[in-house]
Amino acid sequence: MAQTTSVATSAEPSDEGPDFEPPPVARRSGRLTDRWIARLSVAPAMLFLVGLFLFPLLWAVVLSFSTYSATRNQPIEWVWFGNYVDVLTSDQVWERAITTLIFVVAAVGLQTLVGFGIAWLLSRQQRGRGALTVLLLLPMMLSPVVVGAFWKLMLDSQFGVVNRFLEAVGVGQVLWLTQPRLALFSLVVVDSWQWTPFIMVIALAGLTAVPDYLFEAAEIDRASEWFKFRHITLPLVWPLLLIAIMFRAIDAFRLFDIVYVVTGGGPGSSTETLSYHLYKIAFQNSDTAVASAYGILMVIVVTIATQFYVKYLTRVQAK
Amino acid sequence: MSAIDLDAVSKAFGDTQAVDDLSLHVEDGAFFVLLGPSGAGKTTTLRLIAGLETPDEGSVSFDGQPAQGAAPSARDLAMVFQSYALYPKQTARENIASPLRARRIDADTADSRIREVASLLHIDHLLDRQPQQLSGGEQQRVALGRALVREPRAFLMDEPLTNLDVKLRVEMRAELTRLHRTLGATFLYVTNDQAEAMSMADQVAVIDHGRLQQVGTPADIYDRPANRFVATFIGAQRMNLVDCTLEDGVLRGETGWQVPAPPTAPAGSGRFQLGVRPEDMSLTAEHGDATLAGTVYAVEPLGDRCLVDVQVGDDLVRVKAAPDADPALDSAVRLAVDVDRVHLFDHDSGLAVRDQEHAPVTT
Amino acid sequence: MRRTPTLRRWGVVLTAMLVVLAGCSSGDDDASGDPTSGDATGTEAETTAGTDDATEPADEGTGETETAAAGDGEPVELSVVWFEWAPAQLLEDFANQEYSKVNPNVTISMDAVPNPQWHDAIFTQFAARQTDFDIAILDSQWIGEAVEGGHVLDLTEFAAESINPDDYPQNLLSAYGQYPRAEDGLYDPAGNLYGLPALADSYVLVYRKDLIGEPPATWDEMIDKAAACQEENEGMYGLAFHGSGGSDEAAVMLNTQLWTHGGEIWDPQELQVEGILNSPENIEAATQLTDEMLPLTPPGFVGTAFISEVNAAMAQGQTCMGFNWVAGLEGLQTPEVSGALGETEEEILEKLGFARVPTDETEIVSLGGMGMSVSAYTENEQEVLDFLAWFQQPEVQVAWGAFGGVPAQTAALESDEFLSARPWNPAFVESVEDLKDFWNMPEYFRLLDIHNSEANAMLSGTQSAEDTLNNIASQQQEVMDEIREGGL
Repeated sequence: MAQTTSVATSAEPSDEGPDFEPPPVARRSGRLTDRWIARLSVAPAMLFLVGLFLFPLLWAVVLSFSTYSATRNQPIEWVWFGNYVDVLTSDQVWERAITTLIFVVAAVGLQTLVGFGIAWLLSRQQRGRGALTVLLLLPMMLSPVVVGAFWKLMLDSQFGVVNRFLEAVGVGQVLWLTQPRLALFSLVVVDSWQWTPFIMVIALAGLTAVPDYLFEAAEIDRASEWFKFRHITLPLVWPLLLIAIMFRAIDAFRLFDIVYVVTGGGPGSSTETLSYHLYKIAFQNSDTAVASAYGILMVIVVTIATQFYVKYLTRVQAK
Repeated sequence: MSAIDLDAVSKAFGDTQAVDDLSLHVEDGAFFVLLGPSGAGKTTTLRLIAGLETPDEGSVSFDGQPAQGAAPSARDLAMVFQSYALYPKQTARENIASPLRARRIDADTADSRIREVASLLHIDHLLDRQPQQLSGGEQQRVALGRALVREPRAFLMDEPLTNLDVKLRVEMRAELTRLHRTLGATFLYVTNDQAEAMSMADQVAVIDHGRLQQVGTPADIYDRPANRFVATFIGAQRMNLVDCTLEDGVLRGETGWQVPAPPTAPAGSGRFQLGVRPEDMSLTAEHGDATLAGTVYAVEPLGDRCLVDVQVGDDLVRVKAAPDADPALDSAVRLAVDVDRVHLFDHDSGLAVRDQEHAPVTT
Repeated sequence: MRRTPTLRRWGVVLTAMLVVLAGCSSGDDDASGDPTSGDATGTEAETTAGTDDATEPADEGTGETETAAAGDGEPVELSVVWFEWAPAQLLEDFANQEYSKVNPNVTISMDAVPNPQWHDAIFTQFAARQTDFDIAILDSQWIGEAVEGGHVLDLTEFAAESINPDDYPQNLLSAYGQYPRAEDGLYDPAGNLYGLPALADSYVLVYRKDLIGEPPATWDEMIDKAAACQEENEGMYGLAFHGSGGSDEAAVMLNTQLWTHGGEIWDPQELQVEGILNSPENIEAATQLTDEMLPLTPPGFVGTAFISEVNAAMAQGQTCMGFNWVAGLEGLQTPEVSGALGETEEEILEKLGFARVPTDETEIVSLGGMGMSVSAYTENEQEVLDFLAWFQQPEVQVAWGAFGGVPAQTAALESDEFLSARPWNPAFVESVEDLKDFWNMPEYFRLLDIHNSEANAMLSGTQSAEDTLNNIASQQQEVMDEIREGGL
């Protein structure tokens, strides 16, 4: 095809004024047009995406309207939004939602404060900053299950190193994992231990990008440290920090692994998060359809929350 | 207001010697310009004075009092940064107010100071905008306002006009000079633009490679450059340099031209470079005493004048001719040299050959 | 202008891909056309479904050739899923050591998963209608779920030929294999069998001979002795028992307390919980647990305690008495575990004693243990059944008892080999006929989740006994009401 066109154009060049035909490039396959080559090139990725993501997601939506259970051999009935109504009207779900919300706010809040604090200290430290940063990033590279397992040991009321230390300094025994508030707090601590570095590293990127001359100007103006923080550091790092907070909040919202390993949702169900509850419904009760509805509702909630957040974020960044 | 002294100050960053044994005396109330190409160490010098850098050697003193590592905030200076360094999320008013706030000046006084400065800088109407809503020139004026709002020992300005367009730059030059006269304060101004230096300064210090090349009034620097570097750096048009030898009071060029040696020339003989500014030559038809023969290489008519590049031997010599001069390319021309305004540089050291007693007369 | 045709073309491509995927999933399923095809564990954006579907046909292909080859005397590996504890290793060792003498072609490989993943490891594969194990050791209450889903083979006919039901304590044979279970908890010859005993188990009381003297016979005596022991021994606590929130730990302890005090947790006939579980008598019994027994345990201990925690508390001399599963005690007699109590087994056993659980209104003891069920998806059905038949032979059961396991046949339990094999075995034998299990029905996990969460809250000291029982009763009654409405 390409060849015939190039022959055609060279045959009658001057008659039709300027010629916008691109110069002939390398010879192409005679059978496949560019458009089809393009389609074939994305096809594996599309197949992958559809097969492993889109299809299961749609399938879950279909299941959520039924009474399907993965392990039971029972006839399927279509209950349409019945499962959704059940989930949304369940007291248990709302309890879990509140637990999750408290966790998200506390954990992300703590991580933001501490992460930003460490980043701020690091940004003022010139020597050894790289090595120190890498060292501080280590927790993030561990598997949450491993992190949960050793924190569970450390927080054990009888043998845990934390209590041993507290006893040694005279504070006495603290029941980290068997008192509802403390257990949730312990989860916040464990999650923060692992994920504070995430906020830290992003905040650090923002902090090191703040031009020095602003601080120098403030220095010459005799501005206070608070002024420098409030009016130079924070405004410039905030947009970046917001992105980090969003990632962490979404991640914390679907917290599962640490709960599973450290408290198992206990004592009682005081540390049971939405994801953990969903897991129980899906894999222990085998109420696949209800779990599908539950999961889809969670996705919807996260999506809506993220939309609002992103709007706020773009507004902040536009300023 | 105070005088500033640098005494044999050196500062290196790694292998780079940014400032090398620099001594300066800035008079109280002077408009003192540090001039040099980029990378010459001007900004470092300014930062050393401001206390943002600590000298490796030497000392900085204010009114004879060594600063001795005093913090920037303790030096009571105001500084305008090349990038303005305005606080990003603060309005112009808040930016200008920040040095006052840090000094716990009461709100009423501060307010009237800000208004004064704002009207001085013609930014009254911009006070409630944030920096990103301001043009470069406006930001620059806010940055100036932040410096001017209080009365520091001295104003340090680091290439404050570089980021402005030409028209605004020229306007601001005049504004700054006027401001300096009004305030009577010490201005220490860094620039790489010789025109800025020439037009604004009381005193200019030319710096290259961290070393002081020459200090003096703009006229001094222009009329009596201390060395080849200063000679070629100063002036709207680069000074022409042509190799020559001195013999019997006459300078001889490689193409055979002859020019009487200036009175500053030493007795005896040697290799030199003749320096002539384009404005100190003219096109002529005569075979005079001090003329160079060449062919026209290029012509740039500029309206008020005409720049003609003439090939003399291996050198291109630029001459500022009358606006109506329009020599044909490749035609043979002669250049008449104003012998009273020639400069002679030692061929090897580049230092000006100068004898104070016989210095060229300036008007 | 260009958009529409492009979109339509992509639509065609997408549809084609969906058809291909759908073809994959229906090709290897029971072609019933219901959503059970594909997306086995699918809940949210489940990513394994596609891969499962894709790999399944290939697996089946190789499976067939394996089965065929096995008949010719090729080596076969039978895979067993259980959870990680001492008996799992014991069973694997025992089977490989003894069964290889009978059938050298067969090896047994034990896949022991952590206890909290035990159920999921089995049932996610069941859901996929494809298992990489041949034998599932199911907790006794899960049989209903597995049977309802059709995931385990009906062993009734096989059992009729290969075992004699009279060889077994009738409650054990029922608990480890029958569904639905008879009212009285005993073996029902008319009912179906889906599993055969792998390991029997019960709660026993571990106590410090040197500190307690004779083991307590009654519940009140136990509390008195525990209190006295705690009083007399600085730094020690009176009691240790399970109360963790993971699966059924706290629930079993609560049930034990209620049952021994004459209570019930539900009425299976009427599907009634409200009024039975939270009866005044039960509340009183549970209050004894929270107000009298919990203060005798190490602070913060019970809320996270299970088998190894109680063992550790006893082994390190932290508590005077403790409840634990018999099968979980393996190792406690050894210096490796209980080095703090003595340097040799004899020294340790001078301090550690084992007795049946004390009685109160009744002599009921909580039943543990589990049976072996055969995956409906096994490719080695004949080899598995041969192995089961062998394992249930009376002499093999005796050998299993002697090896350290807990057999479920009367003769084996009463044999000298078993009684002398482990120091706690006599205590277990004493308990056998009093063992009692709880619900075995497909809704088990919903009920258990409520039961265990609430009991865990109570045993963590964060909820009163009365609130706990009321909470459980009202929530479980909802489940029961649903079942009733569902027409079960």
